[in-house]
Amino acid sequence: MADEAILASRLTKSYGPVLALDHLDLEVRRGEIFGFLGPNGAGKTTAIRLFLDLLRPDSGQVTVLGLDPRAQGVELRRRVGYLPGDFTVDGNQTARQLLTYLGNLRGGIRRDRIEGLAERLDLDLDQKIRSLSKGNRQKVGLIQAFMHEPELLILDEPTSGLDPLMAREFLTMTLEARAHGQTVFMSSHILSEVQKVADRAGIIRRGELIAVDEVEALRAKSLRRVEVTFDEPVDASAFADVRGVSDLVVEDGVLRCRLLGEADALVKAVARYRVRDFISEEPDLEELFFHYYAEGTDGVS
Amino acid sequence: MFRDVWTKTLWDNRRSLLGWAVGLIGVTLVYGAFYPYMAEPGYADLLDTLPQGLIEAMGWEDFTSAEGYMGAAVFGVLGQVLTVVMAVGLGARMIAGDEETGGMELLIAHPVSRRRVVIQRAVSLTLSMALAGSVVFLAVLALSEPIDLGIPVGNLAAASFQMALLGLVFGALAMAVGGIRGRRGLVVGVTAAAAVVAYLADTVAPMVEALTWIEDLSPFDWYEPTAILRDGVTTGDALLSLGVVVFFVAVAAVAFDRRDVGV
Ligand SMILES: Nc1ncnc2c1ncn2[C@@H]1O[C@H](COP(=O)(O)OP(=O)(O)O)[C@@H](O)[C@H]1O
Ligand SMILES: [Mg+2]
Repeated sequence: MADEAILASRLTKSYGPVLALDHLDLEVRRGEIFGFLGPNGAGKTTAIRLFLDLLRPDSGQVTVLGLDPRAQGVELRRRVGYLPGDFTVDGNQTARQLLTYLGNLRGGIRRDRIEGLAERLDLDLDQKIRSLSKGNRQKVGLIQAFMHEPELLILDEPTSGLDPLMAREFLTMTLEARAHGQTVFMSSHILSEVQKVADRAGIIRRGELIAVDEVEALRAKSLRRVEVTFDEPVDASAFADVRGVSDLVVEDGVLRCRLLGEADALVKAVARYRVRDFISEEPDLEELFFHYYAEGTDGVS
Repeated sequence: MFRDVWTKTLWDNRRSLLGWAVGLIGVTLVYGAFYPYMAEPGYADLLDTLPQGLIEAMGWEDFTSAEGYMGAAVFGVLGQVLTVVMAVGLGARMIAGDEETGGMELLIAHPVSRRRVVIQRAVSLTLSMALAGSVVFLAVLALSEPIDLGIPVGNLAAASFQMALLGLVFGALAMAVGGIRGRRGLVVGVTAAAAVVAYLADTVAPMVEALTWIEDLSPFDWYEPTAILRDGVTTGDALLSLGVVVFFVAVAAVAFDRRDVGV
């Protein structure tokens, strides 16, 4: 039995002239939470659909739980829970009807298991799916992926449409899954979301895997924009040497800069003044790519 | 509640099936109820004034006998068109339609093989057409006494069965096209075009001496309602139609198993 939950080698896929996945090598270990990060159009969904045998690669190989998606697809999908990136189903049924049916395709799921998950995610199972909000539909999708406690969860942008509270509940569910020995593979275009739970993350851009790293290392390499508004005049020179700060501009009592890695040094430096506002943006994936690109080209590590 | 793809598919289509059943019953009752007027002598004279070609094309040669009238009206053009349109609509939904709306992706991400999905969907389509045939049969049966039709019950059943089978041939074709390409619009277009060509091959081609052989290739030629109402099931035609259905479903299963889904 292969030790990897997912093992892809030189996986390539195009849609006509569009090269969506370019020789992807990927290794997801059993029992880890793996974040698959990339901007929209990077090829995340394409890779995931190849893992489940929804698409067939132009070239390259992949095994999932040691199984060949094409030849052993039924066995593979029995052991996997999958949330599609675009979870759409016939709206003319209740969530309970759909989930029971999907459970039956897996040989039956205990009622209380479905109800327990619905309760956690605060979903009314007896509403017609048509009448559910986007976020509530996403919860139905999450429940069908989790309900049979699969060895491997493959989740395509699982938090899309969820409000922050539910997104946090979902992240807790992934941690519990890992504690049960399950493997979680989730795609996202938001770094901070993956950072909260993942052990490792792979970064994909334009169909190419740019880096795979421990999440801690990613955090240290992530660049974010910071804007601080002071209530008193400040001088740029006071921040020029702060660790992690670059592209520093201070004008009219407003400091703008980019910050690499942890915020500690900058926070302590600005704390010497009277601060009216402090805005730290979501780290930018694009910036992270450039970091890895730069690393790749100058050979620094 | 549902354990299998085929039962779930029937249930998902319940509204559409109910609509078609009501429509077929309505058309059958309305057309059937006109029979007593057609049996009056004045209409035979009226028909004599129409061009012979038109009468043959529309299957009106024998409009005043019970078999001739029912074969041309209820089991004729209108019944055929309704049955074929129903079957094509359902057949297009079985693979391509479900794929376009996203349901197929979720289904085949479960532990079911694609071939199994296609075969179960074909079972569902077959049962839907059996339902269509049954309601037509029951409606004609209900009319039979009041309008004094005098056609044996077995022959009424045979005509209903073979009309449903005609629909099933094109429904299965829609599944085959859907198995090859997952675009519902394309499937409906191609299958409808095939049905129109097949219909013309059965009605227009025979008027041209050199083209009579084409008629034999048309599923519409394998269904001759007036003859069935008079003499019962045409076994060879029915078996041929069934064989073609099995072939189309096999094409759907093999093609769908080989391609990318949801692109
Ligand atoms: N069905 C399709 N037909 C043509 N191009 C597609 C199709 N699906 C995706 N693509 C293209 O392939 C690339 C990767 O898409 P995708 O895998 O959906 O990326 P992601 O999930 O990371 O947003 C994009 O350039 C996208 O436009
Ligand atoms: Mg995507």
